[in-house]
Amino acid sequence: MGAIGIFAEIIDNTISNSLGSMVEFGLKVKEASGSELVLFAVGQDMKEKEAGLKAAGVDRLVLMDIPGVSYVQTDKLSCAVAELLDKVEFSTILVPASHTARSLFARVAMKKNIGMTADCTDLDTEIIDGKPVVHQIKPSFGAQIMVTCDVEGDSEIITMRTDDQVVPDLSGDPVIEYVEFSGADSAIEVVDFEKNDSVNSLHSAEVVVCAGRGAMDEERFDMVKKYAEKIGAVVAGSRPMADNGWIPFENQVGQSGTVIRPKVALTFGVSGAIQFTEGLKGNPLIIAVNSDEHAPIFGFADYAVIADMSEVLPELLK
Amino acid sequence: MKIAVCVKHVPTSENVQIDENNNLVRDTAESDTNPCDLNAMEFALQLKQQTEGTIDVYSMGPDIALASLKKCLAIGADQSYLISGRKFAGGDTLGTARVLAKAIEDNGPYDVIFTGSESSDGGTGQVGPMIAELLSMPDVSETVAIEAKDENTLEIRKNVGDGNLVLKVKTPVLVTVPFGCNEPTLPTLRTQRKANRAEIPVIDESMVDLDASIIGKPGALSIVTTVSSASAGRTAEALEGSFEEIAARIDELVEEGRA
Ligand SMILES: Cc1cc2nc3c(=O)[nH]c(=O)nc-3n(C[C@H](O)[C@H](O)[C@H](O)COP(=O)(O)OP(=O)(O)OC[C@H]3O[C@@H](n4cnc5c(N)ncnc54)[C@H](O)[C@@H]3O)c2cc1C
Ligand SMILES: Cc1cc2nc3c(=O)[nH]c(=O)nc-3n(C[C@H](O)[C@H](O)[C@H](O)COP(=O)(O)OP(=O)(O)OC[C@H]3O[C@@H](n4cnc5c(N)ncnc54)[C@H](O)[C@@H]3O)c2cc1C
Repeated sequence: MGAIGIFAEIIDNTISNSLGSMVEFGLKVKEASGSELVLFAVGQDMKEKEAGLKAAGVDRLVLMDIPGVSYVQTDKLSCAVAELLDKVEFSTILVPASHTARSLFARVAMKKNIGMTADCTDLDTEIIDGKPVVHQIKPSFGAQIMVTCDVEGDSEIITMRTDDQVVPDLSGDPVIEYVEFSGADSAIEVVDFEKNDSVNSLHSAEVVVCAGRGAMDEERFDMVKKYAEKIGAVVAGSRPMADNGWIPFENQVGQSGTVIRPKVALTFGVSGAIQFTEGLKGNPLIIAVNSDEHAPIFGFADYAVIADMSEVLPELLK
Repeated sequence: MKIAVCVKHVPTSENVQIDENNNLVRDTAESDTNPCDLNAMEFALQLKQQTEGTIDVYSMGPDIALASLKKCLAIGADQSYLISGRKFAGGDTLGTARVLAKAIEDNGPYDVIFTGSESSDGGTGQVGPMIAELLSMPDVSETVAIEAKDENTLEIRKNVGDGNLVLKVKTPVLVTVPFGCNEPTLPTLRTQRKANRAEIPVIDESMVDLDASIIGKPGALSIVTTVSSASAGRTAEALEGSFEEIAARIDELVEEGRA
């Protein structure tokens, strides 16, 4: 039986904030399966990073030091990870669902013919015929549908959606091992970094008003914008609002948009699909206005206003 | 430069039901081009113009995918190919990437291959990098600008959240493009009408030399086993009363929450 692997992504020569969340997922599988939990990482100056990777509950750290490598060199890194996988036998490999890690592991999955499940939010481990089986749970299209995936074969790669606010407990004492990389070139060279000068005000906003398809109407959207202005909030929205040009794409909240952490969020005509709610983090106070009393958003919000927004907004604007 | 673009034709309706066998039944009555694939197409058009290149577009799927292929012709692609066959259906991302990569390889070599960041249905974002791996080329995700520096070097800007990394990349390369990073060209009535008359070659099972056991349903390793409704029911506290009272309570809550 192989180990449970957690990939610790090194972004910009720094351990990614996804680590805490990833370790939680790994520990959950370990608890149910009893398998060894191995944290592995590839990058430069790994010696200096050891202390930041000693998460409690992790049995072994497997590291690969590659001087000068950048996390965007997925061509080179995929060769490195494939070599590491030749040395350590994993049955389950958990990977944070970042753009670079998913690209890196999609390549590894193809190299090794390992099934790969994307964007999971939870795992459910069960022992079948003495062997642990990890069921992979994730949202699917449509308001409130979850699918469970299983991977066939001796090994599996699962990308996990993480909450980057989870701080790892670094009081562990894992065995530390290094694996040599035989080397490979990258066709990608990093020449510069251009910082955005216009930071999206959405990220620093304390109060956010989210418009959904229910607000896709000149008059209603106009009231939503006026209300946001009145209370000093930033206007964001769901994917249909961005897809149809009502809000700029940068202000789409959700899985394929932006993750925000306001103090207060008000939603108008948002149904509450999990891909949307994934973008509202940090436990804000949420007030949802929706005319459908069964809208899933009411299972997520703190306060429900079950009404047509055309009736509520004029009062709010007074 | 010789450029390839992968375009997925997706159902646009979010009307999904679960049948008695726990399968997702999707309303496929309405379908369209996967949104970010048109952003990918836009960068392909820019590179075509800059390098006097050519663009070939590939879509794997049933006949309805012809609509996307014709749209791409109408906005400036030179050739479209439909990849279609029963053996290709039901695959996971490994199988999907293998078929696309093989068809592209057979018509190649290409200098640049574009895909979208992710589809609006399966949405894994794995297909692009998997094609790159099969064709032994690097892949760059989150591409928000692209420019040819010489015959075999591209300058690519990759969004990393708080800014863009500027990358120098040797071709051949596969580039994935997110939604919203450029303004896609739209067909005009005239170009669309012309494209509608185009004969689109079909690449079928007999033309893709891959072992049937590693593609389609038999080759799939990541498999959806159950589908469930996650409706949690209402947990929010309902605000009641007249609209005036509700509005007053919302004002209070917003002030409390903000403090
Ligand atoms: C891979 C993938 C990624 C995705 N990423 C995202 C993402 O990042 N962000 C995102 O938002 N979605 C995303 N989605 C789409 C998501 O599944 C939903 O389809 C989407 O969030 C629905 O948007 P909505 O709530 O605005 O619209 P709908 O689901 O159509 O809901 C509209 C709501 O408005 C209510 N309403 C209508 N009229 C009124 C009125 N007058 N007053 C009050 N209420 C009214 C209705 O009751 C309904 O609940 C993604 C989907 C997939 C498959
Ligand atoms: C709910 C659900 C969940 C799924 N989860 C997984 C999973 O976790 N792992 C897995 O391996 N499979 C999964 N699948 C199967 C997967 O969706 C299919 O293999 C699909 O054919 C390709 O994956 P994608 O839609 O995720 O593409 P993505 O990787 O999201 O697509 C990225 C880009 O690749 C190109 N592309 C993708 N498909 C085509 C095509 N047919 N023709 C032309 N270009 C294309 C487009 O440019 C697109 O923008 C899932 C399917 C469903 C319905």
